[in-house]
Amino acid sequence: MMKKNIQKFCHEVALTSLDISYHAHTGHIGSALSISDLVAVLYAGRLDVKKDRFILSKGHAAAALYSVLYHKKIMGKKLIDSFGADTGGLCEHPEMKDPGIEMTSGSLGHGLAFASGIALGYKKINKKPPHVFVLISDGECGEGSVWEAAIFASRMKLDNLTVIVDYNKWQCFGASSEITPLEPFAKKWQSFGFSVHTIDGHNIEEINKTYHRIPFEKDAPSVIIANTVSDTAYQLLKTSSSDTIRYLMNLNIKRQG
Amino acid sequence: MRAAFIRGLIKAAERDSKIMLITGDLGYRFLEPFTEKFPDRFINIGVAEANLVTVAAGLAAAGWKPFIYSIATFASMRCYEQIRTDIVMQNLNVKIVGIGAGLAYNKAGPTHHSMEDIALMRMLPGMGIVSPHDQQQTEKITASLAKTSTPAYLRIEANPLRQVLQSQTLQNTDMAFLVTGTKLWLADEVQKKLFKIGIRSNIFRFPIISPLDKKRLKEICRTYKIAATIEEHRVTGGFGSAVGEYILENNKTMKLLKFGLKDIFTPISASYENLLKYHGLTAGNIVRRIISSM
Repeated sequence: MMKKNIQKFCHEVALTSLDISYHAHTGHIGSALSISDLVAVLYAGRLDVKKDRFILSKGHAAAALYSVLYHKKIMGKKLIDSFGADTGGLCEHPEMKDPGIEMTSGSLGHGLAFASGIALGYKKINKKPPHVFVLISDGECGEGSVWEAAIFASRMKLDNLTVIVDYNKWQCFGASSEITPLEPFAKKWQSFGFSVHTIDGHNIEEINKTYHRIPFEKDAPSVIIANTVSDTAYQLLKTSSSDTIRYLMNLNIKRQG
Repeated sequence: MRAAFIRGLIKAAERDSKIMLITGDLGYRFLEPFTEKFPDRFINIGVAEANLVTVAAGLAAAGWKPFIYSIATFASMRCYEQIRTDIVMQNLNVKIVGIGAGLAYNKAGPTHHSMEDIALMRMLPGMGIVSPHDQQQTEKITASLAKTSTPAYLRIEANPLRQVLQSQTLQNTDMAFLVTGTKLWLADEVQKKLFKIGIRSNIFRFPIISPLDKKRLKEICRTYKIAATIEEHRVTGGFGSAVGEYILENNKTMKLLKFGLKDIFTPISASYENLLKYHGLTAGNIVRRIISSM
Protein backbone atom coordinates (compact mmCIF):
# COMPACT_ATOMS: atom_id res chain seq x y z
CA MET A 1 0.00 0.00 0.00
CA MET A 2 1.23 3.54 -0.83
CA LYS A 3 2.08 5.91 2.01
CA LYS A 4 -0.99 8.09 1.43
CA ASN A 5 -3.22 5.02 1.30
CA ILE A 6 -1.78 3.65 4.52
CA GLN A 7 -2.58 6.96 6.20
CA LYS A 8 -6.14 6.77 4.93
CA PHE A 9 -6.41 3.14 6.02
CA CYS A 10 -5.23 4.05 9.55
CA HIS A 11 -7.77 6.86 9.72
CA GLU A 12 -10.61 4.56 8.65
CA VAL A 13 -9.57 1.92 11.15
CA ALA A 14 -9.53 4.45 14.00
CA LEU A 15 -12.95 5.76 12.99
CA THR A 16 -14.45 2.29 12.79
CA SER A 17 -12.97 1.43 16.22
CA LEU A 18 -14.71 4.50 17.61
CA ASP A 19 -17.95 3.75 15.80
CA ILE A 20 -18.31 0.17 16.94
CA SER A 21 -17.30 1.08 20.50
CA TYR A 22 -19.87 3.86 20.50
CA HIS A 23 -22.64 1.64 19.19
CA ALA A 24 -21.81 -1.09 21.70
CA HIS A 25 -21.23 1.45 24.49
CA THR A 26 -18.15 -0.49 25.53
CA GLY A 27 -15.04 0.70 27.28
CA HIS A 28 -11.39 0.22 26.38
CA ILE A 29 -11.62 2.83 23.65
CA GLY A 30 -8.36 4.47 24.66
CA SER A 31 -6.66 1.10 24.55
CA ALA A 32 -8.00 0.37 21.07
CA LEU A 33 -6.95 3.82 19.83
CA SER A 34 -3.44 3.52 21.19
CA ILE A 35 -2.85 0.42 19.05
CA SER A 36 -4.99 1.14 16.00
CA ASP A 37 -2.14 2.68 13.97
CA LEU A 38 0.25 -0.13 14.93
CA VAL A 39 -2.18 -2.84 13.83
CA ALA A 40 -3.44 -1.01 10.76
CA VAL A 41 0.07 -0.40 9.40
CA LEU A 42 1.02 -4.03 10.03
CA TYR A 43 -1.94 -5.33 8.03
CA ALA A 44 -1.47 -2.66 5.36
CA GLY A 45 2.05 -3.82 4.59
CA ARG A 46 4.41 -6.18 6.36
CA LEU A 47 1.97 -8.89 7.43
CA ASP A 48 1.18 -11.59 4.89
CA VAL A 49 -2.21 -12.76 6.13
CA LYS A 50 -1.91 -15.97 4.12
CA LYS A 51 1.01 -17.26 6.20
CA ASP A 52 2.09 -14.86 8.95
CA ARG A 53 0.15 -14.57 12.17
CA PHE A 54 -0.87 -11.65 14.36
CA ILE A 55 -1.75 -12.33 18.00
CA LEU A 56 -3.50 -9.60 19.97
CA SER A 57 -2.46 -10.40 23.51
CA LYS A 58 -4.05 -7.28 24.98
CA GLY A 59 -7.45 -8.60 24.00
CA HIS A 60 -9.32 -5.68 25.52
CA ALA A 61 -8.28 -3.60 22.51
CA ALA A 62 -10.18 -5.95 20.18
CA ALA A 63 -12.15 -3.10 18.58
CA ALA A 64 -8.99 -2.01 16.73
CA LEU A 65 -8.30 -5.53 15.43
CA TYR A 66 -11.92 -6.07 14.37
CA SER A 67 -11.79 -2.75 12.49
CA VAL A 68 -8.61 -3.72 10.66
CA LEU A 69 -10.07 -7.11 9.75
CA TYR A 70 -13.22 -5.40 8.52
CA HIS A 71 -11.32 -2.96 6.30
CA LYS A 72 -9.16 -5.86 5.03
CA LYS A 73 -12.45 -7.61 4.13
CA ILE A 74 -11.62 -10.56 6.38
CA MET A 75 -14.56 -9.77 8.63
CA GLY A 76 -17.98 -8.91 7.16
CA LYS A 77 -20.12 -5.86 7.90
CA LYS A 78 -22.79 -7.85 9.68
CA LEU A 79 -20.26 -9.45 11.98
CA ILE A 80 -18.40 -6.27 12.93
CA ASP A 81 -21.72 -4.51 13.58
CA SER A 82 -22.50 -7.25 16.11
CA PHE A 83 -19.63 -6.10 18.38
CA GLY A 84 -20.86 -6.22 21.98
CA ALA A 85 -24.42 -7.05 20.84
CA ASP A 86 -27.16 -8.25 23.19
CA THR A 87 -28.17 -11.13 20.96
CA GLY A 88 -24.96 -13.02 20.28
CA GLY A 89 -22.19 -11.13 18.51
CA LEU A 90 -18.49 -10.37 18.57
CA CYS A 91 -17.15 -10.40 22.13
CA GLU A 92 -15.29 -7.48 23.66
CA HIS A 93 -12.21 -9.73 23.61
CA PRO A 94 -11.16 -11.77 20.52
CA GLU A 95 -12.35 -15.35 20.07
CA MET A 96 -10.47 -17.85 17.94
CA LYS A 97 -13.73 -18.96 16.29
CA ASP A 98 -14.13 -15.60 14.52
CA PRO A 99 -12.56 -14.93 11.10
CA GLY A 100 -8.99 -13.64 11.21
CA ILE A 101 -8.61 -14.18 14.95
CA GLU A 102 -5.55 -16.28 15.80
CA MET A 103 -6.01 -16.52 19.55
CA THR A 104 -8.73 -16.32 22.17
CA SER A 105 -7.33 -13.56 24.35
CA GLY A 106 -8.57 -11.34 27.13
CA SER A 107 -6.64 -12.89 29.94
CA LEU A 108 -3.36 -10.97 29.98
CA GLY A 109 0.07 -12.55 29.87
CA HIS A 110 -0.77 -15.41 27.50
CA GLY A 111 0.00 -13.98 24.05
CA LEU A 112 3.78 -13.97 24.08
CA ALA A 113 4.07 -17.63 25.12
CA PHE A 114 1.42 -18.65 22.59
CA ALA A 115 3.15 -16.71 19.81
CA SER A 116 6.49 -18.25 20.83
CA GLY A 117 4.99 -21.74 20.54
CA ILE A 118 3.69 -20.98 17.05
CA ALA A 119 6.97 -19.36 15.97
CA LEU A 120 8.91 -22.38 17.22
CA GLY A 121 6.44 -24.75 15.56
CA TYR A 122 6.98 -22.97 12.24
CA LYS A 123 10.73 -22.83 12.64
CA LYS A 124 10.97 -26.57 13.17
CA ILE A 125 9.58 -27.34 9.72
CA ASN A 126 10.43 -24.32 7.53
CA LYS A 127 13.75 -22.97 6.35
CA LYS A 128 12.02 -19.63 5.81
CA PRO A 129 9.38 -19.74 8.52
CA PRO A 130 6.36 -17.40 8.55
CA HIS A 131 6.57 -14.51 10.99
CA VAL A 132 4.55 -14.26 14.18
CA PHE A 133 3.67 -10.85 15.59
CA VAL A 134 2.28 -10.41 19.07
CA LEU A 135 1.01 -7.16 20.51
CA ILE A 136 1.15 -6.80 24.28
CA SER A 137 0.43 -3.90 26.61
CA ASP A 138 2.75 -2.23 29.08
CA GLY A 139 0.50 -3.01 32.05
CA GLU A 140 0.47 -6.63 30.87
CA CYS A 141 4.21 -6.79 31.54
CA GLY A 142 3.28 -7.08 35.21
CA GLU A 143 2.37 -10.70 34.44
CA GLY A 144 5.26 -13.05 35.22
CA SER A 145 4.30 -15.30 32.32
CA VAL A 146 5.41 -12.55 29.89
CA TRP A 147 8.96 -12.89 31.19
CA GLU A 148 8.84 -16.70 31.30
CA ALA A 149 8.04 -16.52 27.60
CA ALA A 150 10.69 -13.87 26.96
CA ILE A 151 13.41 -16.13 28.37
CA PHE A 152 12.12 -18.98 26.22
CA ALA A 153 11.80 -17.02 22.94
CA SER A 154 15.33 -15.75 23.28
CA ARG A 155 16.72 -19.17 24.20
CA MET A 156 15.04 -20.68 21.13
CA LYS A 157 16.48 -17.90 18.91
CA LEU A 158 13.04 -17.08 17.54
CA ASP A 159 13.95 -14.47 14.94
CA ASN A 160 10.57 -15.12 13.32
CA LEU A 161 8.89 -13.58 16.38
CA THR A 162 8.22 -9.89 16.94
CA VAL A 163 6.74 -8.42 20.08
CA ILE A 164 5.07 -5.05 19.74
CA VAL A 165 4.63 -3.34 23.10
CA ASP A 166 1.94 -0.71 23.30
CA TYR A 167 3.70 1.63 25.70
CA ASN A 168 0.84 4.04 26.41
CA LYS A 169 1.92 4.34 30.04
CA TRP A 170 -1.55 3.98 31.48
CA GLN A 171 -3.29 1.10 33.15
CA CYS A 172 -6.62 0.69 34.90
CA PHE A 173 -5.88 2.68 38.07
CA GLY A 174 -3.42 5.20 36.71
CA ALA A 175 0.12 5.69 35.44
CA SER A 176 1.99 2.47 34.80
CA SER A 177 5.16 4.16 36.13
CA GLU A 178 3.50 4.10 39.56
CA ILE A 179 1.87 0.66 39.34
CA THR A 180 4.19 -1.39 37.13
CA PRO A 181 7.43 0.57 36.79
CA LEU A 182 9.10 -0.82 33.69
CA GLU A 183 12.04 1.51 33.10
CA PRO A 184 14.65 0.99 31.89
CA PHE A 185 12.23 -0.81 29.59
CA ALA A 186 14.37 -1.21 26.47
CA LYS A 187 17.25 -2.46 28.60
CA LYS A 188 14.98 -5.01 30.23
CA TRP A 189 14.15 -6.54 26.85
CA GLN A 190 17.77 -6.33 25.75
CA SER A 191 18.90 -8.17 28.84
CA PHE A 192 16.36 -10.90 28.03
CA GLY A 193 18.06 -11.34 24.64
CA PHE A 194 15.70 -9.33 22.42
CA SER A 195 16.73 -6.95 19.69
CA VAL A 196 14.95 -3.72 20.58
CA HIS A 197 13.67 -0.76 18.57
CA THR A 198 11.83 2.11 20.21
CA ILE A 199 9.47 4.07 17.97
CA ASP A 200 6.67 6.62 17.95
CA GLY A 201 3.62 4.39 17.75
CA HIS A 202 1.64 7.00 15.85
CA ASN A 203 4.21 7.93 13.22
CA ILE A 204 2.91 5.85 10.37
CA GLU A 205 6.03 6.10 8.26
CA GLU A 206 8.28 5.16 11.17
CA ILE A 207 6.06 2.20 12.09
CA ASN A 208 6.03 0.95 8.51
CA LYS A 209 9.78 1.31 8.06
CA THR A 210 10.46 -0.49 11.33
CA TYR A 211 8.16 -3.38 10.37
CA HIS A 212 10.06 -3.83 7.12
CA ARG A 213 13.39 -4.06 8.94
CA ILE A 214 12.26 -7.11 10.90
CA PRO A 215 14.04 -9.29 11.99
CA PHE A 216 16.40 -6.75 13.48
CA GLU A 217 18.96 -9.40 14.22
CA LYS A 218 19.59 -13.00 13.18
CA ASP A 219 18.82 -15.60 15.86
CA ALA A 220 17.15 -13.10 18.21
CA PRO A 221 13.49 -12.25 18.71
CA SER A 222 12.59 -8.64 17.95
CA VAL A 223 10.70 -6.20 20.12
CA ILE A 224 9.26 -2.86 19.12
CA ILE A 225 8.55 -0.56 22.03
CA ALA A 226 5.93 1.76 20.60
CA ASN A 227 5.40 4.97 22.50
CA THR A 228 1.71 5.63 22.15
CA VAL A 229 -0.96 7.91 23.56
CA SER A 230 -4.35 6.44 24.32
CA ASP A 231 -6.21 9.36 22.79
CA THR A 232 -3.97 10.28 19.86
CA ALA A 233 -6.45 9.13 17.27
CA TYR A 234 -9.16 10.90 19.19
CA GLN A 235 -7.21 14.16 19.11
CA LEU A 236 -6.94 13.82 15.34
CA LEU A 237 -10.58 13.04 14.93
CA LYS A 238 -12.19 15.48 17.31
CA THR A 239 -12.71 18.11 14.65
CA SER A 240 -15.53 15.96 13.35
CA SER A 241 -18.87 16.46 15.06
CA SER A 242 -20.40 13.01 15.11
CA ASP A 243 -22.40 11.42 17.92
CA THR A 244 -19.44 9.17 18.49
CA ILE A 245 -17.21 12.07 19.39
CA ARG A 246 -19.84 13.60 21.66
CA TYR A 247 -20.10 10.29 23.50
CA LEU A 248 -16.35 10.11 23.83
CA MET A 249 -16.14 13.64 25.17
CA ASN A 250 -17.89 12.33 28.26
CA LEU A 251 -15.37 9.61 28.84
CA ASN A 252 -12.07 9.87 30.52
CA ILE A 253 -10.50 7.89 27.75
CA LYS A 254 -6.98 8.55 28.94
CA ARG A 255 -7.58 6.06 31.70
CA GLN A 256 -8.43 3.19 29.43
CA GLY A 257 -4.89 2.09 28.56
CA MET B 1 4.12 -46.06 35.59
CA ARG B 2 6.38 -43.25 34.27
CA ALA B 3 8.50 -45.71 32.32
CA ALA B 4 5.32 -47.27 30.90
CA PHE B 5 4.14 -43.84 29.80
CA ILE B 6 7.41 -43.24 27.99
CA ARG B 7 7.19 -46.64 26.28
CA GLY B 8 3.70 -45.77 25.07
CA LEU B 9 4.79 -42.33 23.90
CA ILE B 10 7.74 -43.75 21.96
CA LYS B 11 5.38 -46.13 20.17
CA ALA B 12 3.12 -43.23 19.29
CA ALA B 13 6.02 -41.03 18.16
CA GLU B 14 7.32 -43.77 15.87
CA ARG B 15 3.98 -43.73 14.06
CA ASP B 16 3.33 -40.00 14.13
CA SER B 17 6.12 -37.51 13.40
CA LYS B 18 4.14 -34.63 14.96
CA ILE B 19 4.21 -36.01 18.52
CA MET B 20 6.39 -33.92 20.85
CA LEU B 21 7.37 -34.25 24.50
CA ILE B 22 7.78 -31.08 26.54
CA THR B 23 8.76 -31.13 30.19
CA GLY B 24 8.85 -28.54 32.91
CA ASP B 25 12.34 -29.62 34.01
CA LEU B 26 11.10 -32.92 35.45
CA GLY B 27 11.47 -36.55 34.49
CA TYR B 28 15.26 -36.78 34.70
CA ARG B 29 16.29 -40.45 34.24
CA PHE B 30 12.81 -41.35 32.91
CA LEU B 31 12.46 -39.35 29.71
CA GLU B 32 15.82 -40.32 28.19
CA PRO B 33 14.56 -43.24 26.07
CA PHE B 34 12.37 -40.67 24.26
CA THR B 35 14.85 -37.79 24.19
CA GLU B 36 17.63 -39.99 22.80
CA LYS B 37 15.40 -41.37 20.09
CA PHE B 38 13.69 -38.09 19.15
CA PRO B 39 16.01 -35.24 20.21
CA ASP B 40 14.29 -32.81 17.81
CA ARG B 41 10.91 -33.53 19.32
CA PHE B 42 11.83 -32.91 22.94
CA ILE B 43 12.00 -29.59 24.78
CA ASN B 44 12.78 -28.94 28.40
CA ILE B 45 10.97 -25.63 28.92
CA GLY B 46 12.49 -25.14 32.37
CA VAL B 47 10.78 -24.35 35.64
CA ALA B 48 7.92 -22.36 34.10
CA GLU B 49 4.60 -24.20 34.04
CA ALA B 50 2.53 -21.32 32.66
CA ASN B 51 4.97 -21.07 29.77
CA LEU B 52 4.99 -24.86 29.40
CA VAL B 53 1.24 -24.94 28.79
CA THR B 54 0.93 -21.89 26.57
CA VAL B 55 3.95 -22.68 24.40
CA ALA B 56 2.48 -26.17 23.92
CA ALA B 57 -0.82 -24.57 22.88
CA GLY B 58 1.08 -22.44 20.35
CA LEU B 59 2.90 -25.51 19.01
CA ALA B 60 -0.46 -27.26 18.64
CA ALA B 61 -1.79 -24.22 16.77
CA ALA B 62 1.13 -24.67 14.37
CA GLY B 63 0.23 -28.34 13.78
CA TRP B 64 2.30 -30.18 16.40
CA LYS B 65 0.92 -32.69 18.94
CA PRO B 66 2.62 -31.92 22.25
CA PHE B 67 2.52 -34.04 25.41
CA ILE B 68 3.49 -31.89 28.37
CA TYR B 69 5.01 -33.53 31.40
CA SER B 70 5.28 -32.42 35.02
CA ILE B 71 4.39 -33.50 38.56
CA ALA B 72 0.57 -33.61 38.74
CA THR B 73 0.23 -30.70 41.19
CA PHE B 74 2.26 -28.37 38.99
CA ALA B 75 0.90 -29.69 35.69
CA SER B 76 -2.70 -29.16 36.78
CA MET B 77 -2.78 -26.31 39.28
CA ARG B 78 0.11 -23.94 38.77
CA CYS B 79 -1.05 -23.26 35.22
CA TYR B 80 -4.78 -23.94 35.53
CA GLU B 81 -5.94 -20.78 33.81
CA GLN B 82 -3.49 -21.39 30.96
CA ILE B 83 -4.96 -24.90 30.53
CA ARG B 84 -8.48 -23.48 30.54
CA THR B 85 -7.87 -20.55 28.19
CA ASP B 86 -5.10 -21.64 25.87
CA ILE B 87 -5.73 -25.37 25.53
CA VAL B 88 -9.34 -26.20 26.32
CA MET B 89 -11.14 -23.01 25.26
CA GLN B 90 -9.31 -23.10 21.94
CA ASN B 91 -9.76 -26.89 21.72
CA LEU B 92 -6.10 -27.48 20.88
CA ASN B 93 -4.54 -30.92 20.74
CA VAL B 94 -2.34 -30.85 23.83
CA LYS B 95 -2.07 -33.76 26.25
CA ILE B 96 -1.17 -32.98 29.86
CA VAL B 97 0.64 -35.70 31.74
CA GLY B 98 0.51 -35.32 35.52
CA ILE B 99 2.91 -37.75 37.14
CA GLY B 100 3.11 -38.76 40.79
CA ALA B 101 -0.60 -38.07 41.20
CA GLY B 102 -2.25 -38.75 44.55
CA LEU B 103 0.23 -39.44 47.33
CA ALA B 104 3.04 -40.85 45.19
CA TYR B 105 5.47 -38.23 46.51
CA ASN B 106 4.73 -39.49 50.00
CA LYS B 107 7.75 -37.99 51.71
CA ALA B 108 7.82 -34.74 49.76
CA GLY B 109 5.05 -33.06 51.71
CA PRO B 110 1.68 -31.65 50.64
CA THR B 111 3.04 -29.28 47.96
CA HIS B 112 3.64 -32.48 46.00
CA HIS B 113 0.44 -34.36 46.94
CA SER B 114 -1.92 -34.06 43.99
CA MET B 115 -5.32 -34.55 45.54
CA GLU B 116 -7.43 -32.03 43.60
CA ASP B 117 -6.36 -32.50 39.97
CA ILE B 118 -9.33 -34.65 38.88
CA ALA B 119 -11.74 -32.08 40.34
CA LEU B 120 -9.99 -29.25 38.50
CA MET B 121 -9.87 -31.04 35.17
CA ARG B 122 -13.52 -32.11 35.48
CA MET B 123 -14.48 -28.43 35.43
CA LEU B 124 -13.15 -27.98 31.92
CA PRO B 125 -15.71 -28.81 29.22
CA GLY B 126 -14.21 -31.02 26.53
CA MET B 127 -11.22 -32.10 28.61
CA GLY B 128 -10.64 -35.86 28.69
CA ILE B 129 -9.40 -37.37 31.97
CA VAL B 130 -7.68 -40.75 32.06
CA SER B 131 -6.27 -42.50 35.11
CA PRO B 132 -4.79 -45.91 34.23
CA HIS B 133 -4.83 -48.89 36.62
CA ASP B 134 -1.35 -50.26 35.98
CA GLN B 135 1.79 -50.07 33.84
CA GLN B 136 0.44 -52.17 31.00
CA GLN B 137 -2.65 -50.01 30.68
CA THR B 138 -0.61 -46.79 30.95
CA GLU B 139 1.45 -47.80 27.95
CA LYS B 140 -1.62 -48.76 25.94
CA ILE B 141 -3.65 -45.69 26.89
CA THR B 142 -0.76 -43.31 26.10
CA ALA B 143 -0.47 -44.75 22.62
CA SER B 144 -4.20 -44.51 21.99
CA LEU B 145 -4.48 -41.00 23.46
CA ALA B 146 -1.89 -39.93 20.92
CA LYS B 147 -4.34 -40.83 18.17
CA THR B 148 -7.02 -38.44 19.45
CA SER B 149 -7.14 -34.78 18.47
CA THR B 150 -8.71 -33.20 21.55
CA PRO B 151 -7.21 -32.07 24.89
CA ALA B 152 -6.76 -34.65 27.64
CA TYR B 153 -5.24 -35.05 31.09
CA LEU B 154 -3.34 -38.27 31.75
CA ARG B 155 -3.14 -38.92 35.47
CA ILE B 156 -0.21 -41.14 36.43
CA GLU B 157 -0.20 -42.38 40.01
CA ALA B 158 2.42 -44.40 41.89
CA ASN B 159 3.00 -47.97 40.75
CA PRO B 160 0.25 -50.26 42.03
CA LEU B 161 1.37 -52.11 45.16
CA ARG B 162 0.05 -55.37 43.72
CA GLN B 163 -0.91 -56.46 40.25
CA VAL B 164 -4.51 -57.54 39.86
CA LEU B 165 -5.58 -59.95 37.18
CA GLN B 166 -8.89 -59.51 35.44
CA SER B 167 -11.31 -61.02 37.97
CA GLN B 168 -14.27 -63.15 37.06
CA THR B 169 -17.66 -61.46 37.11
CA LEU B 170 -19.75 -62.98 39.90
CA GLN B 171 -23.49 -63.57 39.69
CA ASN B 172 -25.95 -62.71 42.49
CA THR B 173 -23.78 -60.01 43.95
CA ASP B 174 -24.60 -57.56 46.75
CA MET B 175 -22.61 -54.55 45.66
CA ALA B 176 -20.35 -52.97 43.04
CA PHE B 177 -16.96 -51.30 43.27
CA LEU B 178 -16.16 -48.58 40.77
CA VAL B 179 -12.44 -47.94 40.65
CA THR B 180 -10.22 -45.47 38.87
CA GLY B 181 -6.42 -45.34 38.87
CA THR B 182 -4.10 -47.75 40.59
CA LYS B 183 -6.36 -48.44 43.58
CA LEU B 184 -7.48 -51.61 41.84
CA TRP B 185 -5.33 -53.65 44.26
CA LEU B 186 -7.17 -52.04 47.16
CA ALA B 187 -10.57 -52.85 45.66
CA ASP B 188 -9.35 -56.40 45.11
CA GLU B 189 -8.35 -56.75 48.78
CA VAL B 190 -11.67 -55.32 49.93
CA GLN B 191 -13.56 -57.65 47.61
CA LYS B 192 -11.74 -60.71 49.01
CA LYS B 193 -12.30 -59.66 52.64
CA LEU B 194 -16.00 -59.09 52.02
CA PHE B 195 -16.32 -62.42 50.21
CA LYS B 196 -15.02 -64.21 53.32
CA ILE B 197 -17.88 -62.80 55.36
CA GLY B 198 -20.47 -63.56 52.74
CA ILE B 199 -20.74 -60.24 50.88
CA ARG B 200 -20.38 -60.78 47.16
CA SER B 201 -19.25 -57.93 44.93
CA ASN B 202 -17.97 -57.07 41.46
CA ILE B 203 -15.28 -54.57 40.50
CA PHE B 204 -15.83 -52.21 37.58
CA ARG B 205 -12.76 -50.51 36.15
CA PHE B 206 -12.99 -46.88 35.11
CA PRO B 207 -9.65 -45.74 33.70
CA ILE B 208 -11.57 -43.04 31.84
CA ILE B 209 -13.10 -40.47 34.18
CA SER B 210 -14.12 -37.94 31.50
CA PRO B 211 -16.15 -38.45 29.44
CA LEU B 212 -17.81 -40.72 31.96
CA ASP B 213 -19.17 -43.97 30.50
CA LYS B 214 -22.82 -43.23 31.28
CA LYS B 215 -24.14 -46.29 29.51
CA ARG B 216 -22.11 -48.50 31.79
CA LEU B 217 -23.14 -46.47 34.84
CA LYS B 218 -26.77 -46.84 33.88
CA GLU B 219 -26.35 -50.59 33.74
CA ILE B 220 -24.61 -50.64 37.14
CA CYS B 221 -27.39 -48.52 38.66
CA ARG B 222 -29.95 -50.96 37.27
CA THR B 223 -28.19 -53.99 38.74
CA TYR B 224 -27.01 -52.79 42.17
CA LYS B 225 -28.60 -51.23 45.24
CA ILE B 226 -25.25 -50.22 46.68
CA ALA B 227 -21.93 -49.21 45.16
CA ALA B 228 -18.62 -47.79 46.31
CA THR B 229 -16.07 -45.68 44.43
CA ILE B 230 -12.37 -45.93 45.24
CA GLU B 231 -9.79 -43.39 44.09
CA GLU B 232 -6.57 -41.77 45.28
CA HIS B 233 -7.96 -38.23 45.15
CA ARG B 234 -10.01 -36.14 47.53
CA VAL B 235 -13.51 -37.51 48.02
CA THR B 236 -14.67 -34.01 47.16
CA GLY B 237 -14.89 -33.33 43.45
CA GLY B 238 -13.21 -36.43 42.10
CA PHE B 239 -14.35 -39.62 40.38
CA GLY B 240 -16.77 -40.49 43.20
CA SER B 241 -18.37 -37.08 42.89
CA ALA B 242 -18.77 -37.57 39.15
CA VAL B 243 -20.56 -40.89 39.75
CA GLY B 244 -22.66 -39.28 42.50
CA GLU B 245 -23.71 -36.47 40.18
CA TYR B 246 -24.82 -39.01 37.60
CA ILE B 247 -26.92 -40.84 40.20
CA LEU B 248 -28.59 -37.64 41.41
CA GLU B 249 -29.19 -36.16 37.99
CA ASN B 250 -30.72 -39.36 36.69
CA ASN B 251 -32.92 -40.06 39.70
CA LYS B 252 -31.21 -43.35 40.42
CA THR B 253 -31.71 -44.94 43.81
CA MET B 254 -28.37 -46.76 44.10
CA LYS B 255 -26.66 -45.94 47.39
CA LEU B 256 -23.12 -44.64 46.90
CA LEU B 257 -20.17 -44.78 49.28
CA LYS B 258 -17.15 -42.72 48.28
CA PHE B 259 -13.64 -43.76 49.30
CA GLY B 260 -10.70 -41.49 48.67
CA LEU B 261 -8.43 -39.01 50.37
CA LYS B 262 -9.67 -36.87 53.24
CA ASP B 263 -10.30 -33.16 52.80
CA ILE B 264 -7.10 -32.27 54.64
CA PHE B 265 -3.45 -31.60 53.83
CA THR B 266 -0.96 -34.12 55.20
CA PRO B 267 2.28 -32.30 56.09
CA ILE B 268 4.06 -35.45 57.31
CA SER B 269 6.71 -37.67 55.87
CA ALA B 270 5.49 -41.26 55.76
CA SER B 271 5.73 -44.40 53.66
CA TYR B 272 3.20 -44.56 50.83
CA GLU B 273 1.16 -47.22 52.65
CA ASN B 274 1.22 -45.28 55.92
CA LEU B 275 0.06 -42.14 54.18
CA LEU B 276 -2.85 -44.06 52.63
CA LYS B 277 -3.63 -45.35 56.12
CA TYR B 278 -3.57 -41.79 57.47
CA HIS B 279 -6.26 -40.97 54.92
CA GLY B 280 -8.27 -44.05 55.84
CA LEU B 281 -7.66 -45.65 52.48
CA THR B 282 -7.15 -49.22 53.74
CA ALA B 283 -9.03 -52.43 53.07
CA GLY B 284 -9.98 -52.80 56.77
CA ASN B 285 -11.44 -49.31 57.00
CA ILE B 286 -13.39 -49.64 53.76
CA VAL B 287 -14.80 -53.05 54.82
CA ARG B 288 -15.91 -51.61 58.19
CA ARG B 289 -17.71 -48.70 56.58
CA ILE B 290 -19.42 -50.96 54.08
CA ILE B 291 -20.65 -53.36 56.77
CA SER B 292 -21.99 -50.53 58.92
CA SER B 293 -23.87 -49.04 55.99
CA MET B 294 -25.54 -52.28 54.94
